[in-house]
Amino acid sequence: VSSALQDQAFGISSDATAIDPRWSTSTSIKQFGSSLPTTWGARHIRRDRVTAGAPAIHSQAYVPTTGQGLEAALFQNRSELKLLTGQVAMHLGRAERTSLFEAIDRLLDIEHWEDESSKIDVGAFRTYLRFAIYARPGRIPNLGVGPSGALLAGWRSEGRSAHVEFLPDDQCVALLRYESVRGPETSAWRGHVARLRSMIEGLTESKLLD
Amino acid sequence: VTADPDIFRAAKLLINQHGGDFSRLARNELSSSLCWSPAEDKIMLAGIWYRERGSIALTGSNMPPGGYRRPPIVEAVIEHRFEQTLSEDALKKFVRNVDGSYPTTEQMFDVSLEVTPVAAGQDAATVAKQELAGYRMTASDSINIVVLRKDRIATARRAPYCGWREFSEKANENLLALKKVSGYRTVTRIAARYINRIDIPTQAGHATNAKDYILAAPDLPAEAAAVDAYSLQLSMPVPAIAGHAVVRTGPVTSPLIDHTSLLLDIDLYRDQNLPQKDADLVQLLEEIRLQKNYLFEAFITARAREIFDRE
Repeated sequence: VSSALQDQAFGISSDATAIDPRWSTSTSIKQFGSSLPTTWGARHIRRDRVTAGAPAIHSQAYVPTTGQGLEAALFQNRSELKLLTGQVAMHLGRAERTSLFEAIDRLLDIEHWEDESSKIDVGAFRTYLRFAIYARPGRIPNLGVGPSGALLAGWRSEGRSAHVEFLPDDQCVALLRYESVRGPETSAWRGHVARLRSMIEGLTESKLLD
Repeated sequence: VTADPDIFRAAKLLINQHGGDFSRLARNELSSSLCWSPAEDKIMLAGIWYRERGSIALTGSNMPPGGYRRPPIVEAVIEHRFEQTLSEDALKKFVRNVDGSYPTTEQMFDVSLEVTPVAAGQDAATVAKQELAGYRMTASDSINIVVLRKDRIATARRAPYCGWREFSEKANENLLALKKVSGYRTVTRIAARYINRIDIPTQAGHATNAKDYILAAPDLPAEAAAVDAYSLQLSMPVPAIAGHAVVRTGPVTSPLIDHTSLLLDIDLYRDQNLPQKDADLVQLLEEIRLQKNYLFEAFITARAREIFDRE
């Protein structure tokens, strides 16, 4: 059953649905008649049967009417990240949400954009969100963005620090600094974000995230 | 809110008159779950609101007062459709008028391509058409959206959900703003759609049985209860709104680590004999919302409620 038929038969209310394709199965999108999140440029939202001599191929294209170039690209990036955040907003506290939205607006602000500034990689941001909900850091970190779009987060307390580069696909790189009985030490670790808290706490022997 | 014995007896009598059977419940259970709202003249018994209107009608749900701590709503949509299409001029005026609330606008085009097959060696005849279908306007928070087409307007709210009052008021404001530029339009369909995602904590390598959380799931043997993917779509009449509901459910990729997620998508609409006065449409929307809540509660289990109400 095509989405167009579903529209008529089952009364899909709107194509405004926000099911992120990365967090949905393609089956669900098709079955539920849901569209993809908004991005600039043309996109196929609906396609009827395609057979030789059959009725025309119908699809929909979205074209921005406001903002072009860098401004549009930054809006798109902000929009994608806020949409991702919104999808898991029920698992975040109000302060976390507000802080994240402020960080997104700050890091992708055209007024302060410089040549070496980078957009935030959506996959890297997703990894950070998954970590934040899984590991529940008690302190909201300072956020930044690396040259390749990786999301950077830093926690610092009493001579100890953790600087983490969040990468796509739940991967991260952590640089940990702490004091041992023989003086300052530094460790680097790379792995799945599900292990990040235990690595930080183990190596720094502290509750640095809280 | 009271557990007055007289109210209890009245409620029990009322329920039993209409075929309900609460005799198995112990008195203390009834007392703790019995609420009476004098202002709205309705009674909650065993977690469900009842109101007498000739016959008992379900008017709500056992959702906690004020809603859940972590509502699973990922998107809510209210849509009105019209009999008479809107002119492009009216669409543009609406976009201009609400520009302050929805600063980012995208034009939506219906694009079609028709290819006529010809004999081998000849160039195929193609005809491309493009037509303005409407606009999609997004608020600066990327959470509030309006989708405007020639025959409909939809107000959508992505998570975090702001609550019914704020959301429905926004939808009504948008409808009135549209009527202001387009003049009277006969409303032919009104709908509210809520897409919920239930995120279930799951230990890596352990399976989740959807039926423990959603009561509409494939009836599978225990050995194969943890299926990776399925899609279930149900369509049912909803007499209380003289309309229909479409309920869709199935697993989706979870956005969380060590979780399984299930979608519960509830779409209620009425497309016959709609009232046309603004106040009556608002009232109908309220009724749709109550039925949506009832359906939602009817489809979820106590284990799902625990997830939504966690600290």
